[in-house]
Amino acid sequence: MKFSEEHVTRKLAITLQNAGYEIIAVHPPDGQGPFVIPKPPQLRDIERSSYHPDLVGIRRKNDGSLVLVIAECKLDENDLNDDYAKLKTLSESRDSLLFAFFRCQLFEGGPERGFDFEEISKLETSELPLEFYLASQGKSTLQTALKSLNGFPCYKYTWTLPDLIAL
Amino acid sequence: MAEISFLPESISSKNPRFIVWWTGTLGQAEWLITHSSALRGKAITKECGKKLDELPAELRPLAALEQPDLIITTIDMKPVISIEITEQQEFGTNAQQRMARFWSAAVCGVPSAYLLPVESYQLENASVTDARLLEIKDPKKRLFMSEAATFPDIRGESLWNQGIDNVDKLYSSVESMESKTNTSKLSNLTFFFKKHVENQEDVLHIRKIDGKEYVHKVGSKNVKAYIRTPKVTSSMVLSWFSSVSKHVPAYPFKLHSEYESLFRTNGIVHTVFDELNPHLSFRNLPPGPGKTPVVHKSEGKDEITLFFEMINCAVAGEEIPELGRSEFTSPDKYFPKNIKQEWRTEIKHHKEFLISSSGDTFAKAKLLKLALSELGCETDLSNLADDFFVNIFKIKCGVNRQLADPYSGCLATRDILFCREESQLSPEKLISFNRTQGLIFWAVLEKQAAKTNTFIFPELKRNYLKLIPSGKEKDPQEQLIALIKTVRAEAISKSIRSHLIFSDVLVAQRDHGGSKYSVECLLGVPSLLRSDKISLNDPLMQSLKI
Repeated sequence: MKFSEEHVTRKLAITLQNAGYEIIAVHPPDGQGPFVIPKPPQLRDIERSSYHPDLVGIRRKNDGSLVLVIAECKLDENDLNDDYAKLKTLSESRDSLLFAFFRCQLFEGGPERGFDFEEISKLETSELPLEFYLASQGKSTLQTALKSLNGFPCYKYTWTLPDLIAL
Repeated sequence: MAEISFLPESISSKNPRFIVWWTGTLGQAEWLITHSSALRGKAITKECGKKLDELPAELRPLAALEQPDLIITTIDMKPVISIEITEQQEFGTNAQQRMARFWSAAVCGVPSAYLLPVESYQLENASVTDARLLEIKDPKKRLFMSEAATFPDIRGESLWNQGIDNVDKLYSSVESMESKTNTSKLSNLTFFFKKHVENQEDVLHIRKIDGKEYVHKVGSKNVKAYIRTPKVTSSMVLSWFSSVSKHVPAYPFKLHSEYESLFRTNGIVHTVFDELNPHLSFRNLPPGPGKTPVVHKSEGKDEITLFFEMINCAVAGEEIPELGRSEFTSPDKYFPKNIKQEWRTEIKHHKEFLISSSGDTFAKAKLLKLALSELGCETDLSNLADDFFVNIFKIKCGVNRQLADPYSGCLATRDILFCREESQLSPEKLISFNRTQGLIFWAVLEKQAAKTNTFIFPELKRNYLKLIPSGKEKDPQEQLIALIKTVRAEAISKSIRSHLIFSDVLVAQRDHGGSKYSVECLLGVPSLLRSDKISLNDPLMQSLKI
């Protein structure tokens, strides 16, 4: 059987859903992404002008407050360095981060779960309830904490091949 | 190498009778198999390579102009249906970007289906005027003005000054505004109100955005949310399907947008978690049948259910019913009944060609010839009779970019809508290009593009030298004829491929500034067929049909 990044993205989505997260958007490889976050103006206009995270979700903490989760996935663990760098750049753009929260806001007629965007907008960037995840196939099935990204927690999920197959 | 598959054994097939070829995502192919009773347990998926020569020869005509997202074939490669799925509502000329793929299906006599959001919610940077709404101190007035701004052709300040100061008064005043507004604007407003506020008609439209969600401050930016309703270019797409379907079923299906997901996904509904078909969960796929509201009430079924009814009929080799598709082009259902008048304007003096902006015009060929002659074109255009009407699709380009998308689709759209009568839309007549009116692709290359864009002679020469290395022709027209007599359509680069096939004449007008122009002019396939310089038996023409 052949594997792809989509196995990893779906494994992460299922893992997070089973842990009580709400999955908001998943962006399959080469597909169209519904959850688009504008980038700050680029120096080189050939760069993509928006982020299309592989996965976006919401985690409810024990105290009832919500955390926004943004994840990037790769099949090969070695390829996660690029994604880590991508998320680092995202973490440094207040406008981009706020846009992600804006998409996940509560409003009349909107979803049951979401952020009070007016309150979120008042927070300093470092206070935004946000976590970044990276995921890939690995030598062992693990969840490890990485060095924080601009102060935001960052975690890495890896699965062995047998665990990855067991979707 | 084995194909990737998430399909459970109960749905996949060890002895397949059908293949779902995909270039979009694997998920789309598996979504199709899972929800189609005619494919479930009888089909497998195969990825179409990026290179067309990886596709079986029998299927190449369907991808000769561009590769479709999905093609269903029998196991022995007989095409069953060609499918496109897009969740982003196209805008402007991009609305027609994929039409060349449907044109290929029509030429091959193969049914096609297009799943797209005909109307949707959009988020984009707010204009300065819209952003000023956030600065209104009085909350009541701010809400009223924001609500008013969500309607077309309403001046909120004027109404507020007339004492209309809340949403209820605004709504009740809309229909009584007839005598105070000019006719065309009222029609636009009334049209919007009936569709997106009252929403009691035969067609379910998406609801209007609440005023309080209209403009938001997001960091240093202001973002507005609005309804993108189908406009002129979308009306052309839907009319295209209606026309072609009189010979080969080519059906659009409306992808549903819901208000609840306004901000999360611009309203587009997805399968997030599918309990019955967990292999479809978390793959950004369209919803399954029966998961979204009925859009066309006379049909009584949701669009995805109808989409799969078409797929099932095509796979079973049964006649495909109309499925209520005429609703898309019924007057006043999606568009004002007179919208066709906005498709193109007539040019009555040849000088207008030189000053017209991007867009569609039509004129007698005599005027076109005069205009091109004035620009210094020496190409023999005598096979365009003076009183033959030609449609001119003009674009302006200031950068060095390829002119493939969306123009290939735009030309395929105009070929059907502008150049042919209904009797000329059968597969055999489509390919013969015996058209009632002509089609001209006119690219005005400005600034950087005037110097560096390779459309059309340089790109043609590059193709000629690459594809016919022994070729000695210097004349671009002869180079094109040699290519048509030697290679398949898909061998020619996309930046000129469809342009050569659909256009009677291709024009590249280089604007060197100071009213200095140079012009490259080339006769395309329809003109060359008409003058017997090429024939339907030539390899390029043969490569377009099955």
